[in-house]
Amino acid sequence: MSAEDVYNRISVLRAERGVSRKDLAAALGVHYQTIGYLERGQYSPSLFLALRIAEYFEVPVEVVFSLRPFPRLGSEVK
Amino acid sequence: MGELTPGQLEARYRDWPPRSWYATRGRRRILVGVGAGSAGLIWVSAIVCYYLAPSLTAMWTTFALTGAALVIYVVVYSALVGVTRGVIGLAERHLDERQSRERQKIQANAHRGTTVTLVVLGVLLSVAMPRGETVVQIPAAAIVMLVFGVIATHVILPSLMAGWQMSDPPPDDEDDPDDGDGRDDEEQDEDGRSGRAPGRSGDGQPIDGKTAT
Repeated sequence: MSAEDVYNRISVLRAERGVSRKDLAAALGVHYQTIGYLERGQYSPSLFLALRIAEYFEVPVEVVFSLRPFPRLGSEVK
Repeated sequence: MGELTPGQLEARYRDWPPRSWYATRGRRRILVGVGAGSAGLIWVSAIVCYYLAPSLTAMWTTFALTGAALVIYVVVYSALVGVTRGVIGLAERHLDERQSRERQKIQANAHRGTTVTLVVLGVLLSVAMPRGETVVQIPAAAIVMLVFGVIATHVILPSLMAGWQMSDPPPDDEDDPDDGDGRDDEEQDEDGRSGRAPGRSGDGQPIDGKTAT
């Protein structure tokens, strides 16, 4: 893990809520490609944008972003 | 001419340039190379003027090269505005934080590029000076074209840097499968690099890294 890696679950939350990249981008006031770069981990958002993303999905920010990889779904069930 | 807005940009560049022009790093760099070539034509015309001016040959060669350079660069610049989705071309207030940061990086690199260009030019000119001569006669046309070449390089370098540094763009949305060439854009980088980092998320596939499913 590099020093500046920030992991996120934006694509999961977006899929779960049935929100398109363009809809999310419009709600956050960013370009839709920015959502794509965020999901691919090629861009780490500012604190302001991170908080706004968490607010949009109505979850705490640590549900969306983490400094460590998120566990795979089902990995804790076995 | 009015300022381009994000809505106009999306409408204008929805179908142009073709995605095949910029889907891979290799193709984007070819586009940048063509743009750099257009600036190179102006430098060539300065050299032509140095050797041939004043003459009709120098004059018509300069007109032809400068005209060709302008036409080529207008096409390349327009394509790069579309490719970068406004990172170049849009007013700063229309950019989001990622685009704004990208533009700052591009401008910083372009500034370094201009510095290198000026240093190289200074070295070349001092080497080209005849030994022992304190006064050198240079045709005015050559000086004009040289200055024009420096200014053109300074002006176009940020847009070329933007195209050169750009990583593979994500699909516009889930309903935008690819560029129509039947291949996955992420896998077609010609220098063997994938636009998607290993283990990162994408399109609901199981992943190990950046985004968990």
